[in-house]
Amino acid sequence: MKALYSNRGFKVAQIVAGVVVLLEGVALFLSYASLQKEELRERNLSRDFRSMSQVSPSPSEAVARSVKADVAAYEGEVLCLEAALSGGAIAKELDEEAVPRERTDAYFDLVSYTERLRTMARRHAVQIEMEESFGFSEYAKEGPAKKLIGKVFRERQILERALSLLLMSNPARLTLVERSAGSDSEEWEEQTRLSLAVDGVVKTDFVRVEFSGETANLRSWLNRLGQSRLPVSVRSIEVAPEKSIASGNTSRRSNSSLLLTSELPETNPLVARLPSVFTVVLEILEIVPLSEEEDQ
Amino acid sequence: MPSSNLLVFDCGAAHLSGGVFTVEKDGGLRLESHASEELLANSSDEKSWGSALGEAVTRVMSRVNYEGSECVITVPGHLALTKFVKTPAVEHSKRDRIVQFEASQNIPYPLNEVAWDYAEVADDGVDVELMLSAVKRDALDELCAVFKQAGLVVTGIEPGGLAAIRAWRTAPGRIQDSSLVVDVGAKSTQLLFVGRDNFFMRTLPFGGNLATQLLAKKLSCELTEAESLKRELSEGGRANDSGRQALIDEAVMEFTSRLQAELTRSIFSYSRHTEAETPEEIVLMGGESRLPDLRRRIAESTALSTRSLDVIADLELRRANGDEAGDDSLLALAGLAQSHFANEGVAMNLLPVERQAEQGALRARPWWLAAVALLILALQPPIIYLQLTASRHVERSQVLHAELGPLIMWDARNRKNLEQIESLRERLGMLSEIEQRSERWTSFLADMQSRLESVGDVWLESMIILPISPLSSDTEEGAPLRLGLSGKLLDIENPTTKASSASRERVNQLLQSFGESKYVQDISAGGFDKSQPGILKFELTIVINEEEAL
Repeated sequence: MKALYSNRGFKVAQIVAGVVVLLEGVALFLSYASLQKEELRERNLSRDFRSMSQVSPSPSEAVARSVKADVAAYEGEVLCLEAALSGGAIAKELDEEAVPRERTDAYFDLVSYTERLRTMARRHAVQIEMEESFGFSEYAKEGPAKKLIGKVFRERQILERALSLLLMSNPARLTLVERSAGSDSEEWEEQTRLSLAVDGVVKTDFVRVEFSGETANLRSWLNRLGQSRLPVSVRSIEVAPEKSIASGNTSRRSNSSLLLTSELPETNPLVARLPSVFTVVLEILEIVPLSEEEDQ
Repeated sequence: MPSSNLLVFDCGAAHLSGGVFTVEKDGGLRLESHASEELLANSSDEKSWGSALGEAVTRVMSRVNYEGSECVITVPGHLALTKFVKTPAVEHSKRDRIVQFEASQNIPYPLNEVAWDYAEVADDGVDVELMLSAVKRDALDELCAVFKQAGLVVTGIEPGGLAAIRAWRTAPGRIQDSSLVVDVGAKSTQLLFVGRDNFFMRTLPFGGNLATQLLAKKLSCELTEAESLKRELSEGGRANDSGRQALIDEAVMEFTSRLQAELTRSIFSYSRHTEAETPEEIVLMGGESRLPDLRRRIAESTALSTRSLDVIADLELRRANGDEAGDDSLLALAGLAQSHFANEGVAMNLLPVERQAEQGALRARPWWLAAVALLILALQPPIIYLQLTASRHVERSQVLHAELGPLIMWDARNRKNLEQIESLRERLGMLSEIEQRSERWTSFLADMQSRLESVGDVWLESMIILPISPLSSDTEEGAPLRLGLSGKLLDIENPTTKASSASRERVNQLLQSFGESKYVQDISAGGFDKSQPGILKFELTIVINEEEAL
């Protein structure tokens, strides 16, 4: 046997056989590893397949098409509502007006705005302050910064229409128009809890309008505002008898209005009809487009 | 485990015998086939003996029925050197070294030039008698080459005398315990002393060829002619010419006398051994033992019973074909077969160790190859099984993947669209809330107006939004809206009465009506002023319903 072991051919055969067996061992191991891997893969795929059959909604082309249709329907509803809140036809009208390009242009745009409202106030016999700038007092001597031109112009457009409607409602006196964008933010803190602003949905700015008159003037204005579809929302209404805030002032009319009233006896007035001072806070709505929200 | 049949050859100087043996169930030998061939060689030419032997092997192989390739052979007496030595009886582990020493002392050639082996003849506990036998390696190589040319592999070589002794010791026809077997060959004569417990062997350096040479010399003829004449004489022939016959008788007498002398000397010498048993009979064998009067003369000179070997009768050899004919070389052939099958009796193998190892390796090679092939093949089924199983998994995975792909795609789309729907729905809800709240002040005022009208003769003079109380636990965002209202109620029916029961009832009615409004979550009366007859001033605080937030 020793001769067998020392035989060169046998040694070569031994080495070859050893290498073959080794290779077979490696092949066996690799085959086993491959089998394990493929078993696991199949098991995972089977599990995924089973879980897919339990997924709701069912993953099929028909269902996907239906879901896509639902998306389109919701998008339609959202766009429709956004268009409504943005003013609908008014929004288009507002968009068509040319935005001033320079501060000077913006300044003169505001001057024109003031003049137009003053003229209108005179026409409707509404008392206003001599220097009334209808919410843009900070721009009485210069136009807005260039980056604010667009925003101020938009507010001017909306405010002009809202105040025009107020003037058309014939209040006795327009005492205050104040924008949150142009005043100290602390004054508006109380309003923020009533705000409709929602991040990514609606951006807002407040405008406080104070006027004196009768309930009918308020009602008329609110109705006109509602019908105008302007992108504004009434956020608060406060009422006080005119005497309490304007003591000593003489009412323009002897039969001053009340805030809310039932049918009052006209022949036997137990109570003198005093005008009321209405403080209405409007919120100018600016819808954040859906695409802009997604970008955020 | 010996093979089932065995091819054995007895190589002589002038003949070659071959036989195929099998062993029967009872352990007895069975001669399946047998052939014997004369070597057609010049007796004086050593080189031609090899080629003649090769031709004889081919002829024998054509006559015997044997499909194997291995064979066991005897080495002729003239090639083998045999010595008997005594060594001290030592442990077997040390015996090889002693034998090695004795061999180096007794074999007159360097040991690396000879193939040698030994056998233990007798061991009395004090001394061990060994038989050393050696053959020159080149002669042995030539012998093996001859058989290799015939397609045979020699797996064992033994002195022919030792094989014959082994067969004779167990031969049923052996009458006496101690006998001398005289194997008269062509070139040598072997004297085999076979006792009960030991044996001795001596090779005389002359054989029948000496008789041939003497005849040739006496008759002044060629050796081949003398050889032919000798064979005729052996078969009982006589010369026609009385003078020639006289010369022949002289030559035979001279050969016989020389053999007689050697026999007498050998018997005497053997008898001097302490353990030796004096032969009780002489058995003549070999092709040259049939010379006329050889048996009678040996019997007379030794005074021992002398007979020729009757190989069939003495060995009681079972034969396959029922042929009872046989030559004396069957004794050596049977001895070789005994050693192979029964592994009993004294034996040796002159085949060099390295050649034996080669034979072993050759025999083991198929088994190794088979084992390796088995090992290699044994790993194939699991590999194939694993690969087939894995490929089946791959196929199933591919099918699943193909089915799953669209499902995953639709599911991903659905999820994305559902998320979008959820986002849109949320946005829609917020926008709807904004839309509703933007109109709610107007609705609220209209609702208040209608409730005032339902009570009648009552109006509100002020309405303010109350700030969040610093003592309240409500946060700014979560605090409900509180409105402070003040107004007057006119008592037309009792214009001079302060706070009539009717006024009280109408105030309660007003409070109840306000409280029933969906916009009002809570209402509380703040205070009353009845200082003016017919007029009842009142102050109210209402908390706006959060679900109908303004």
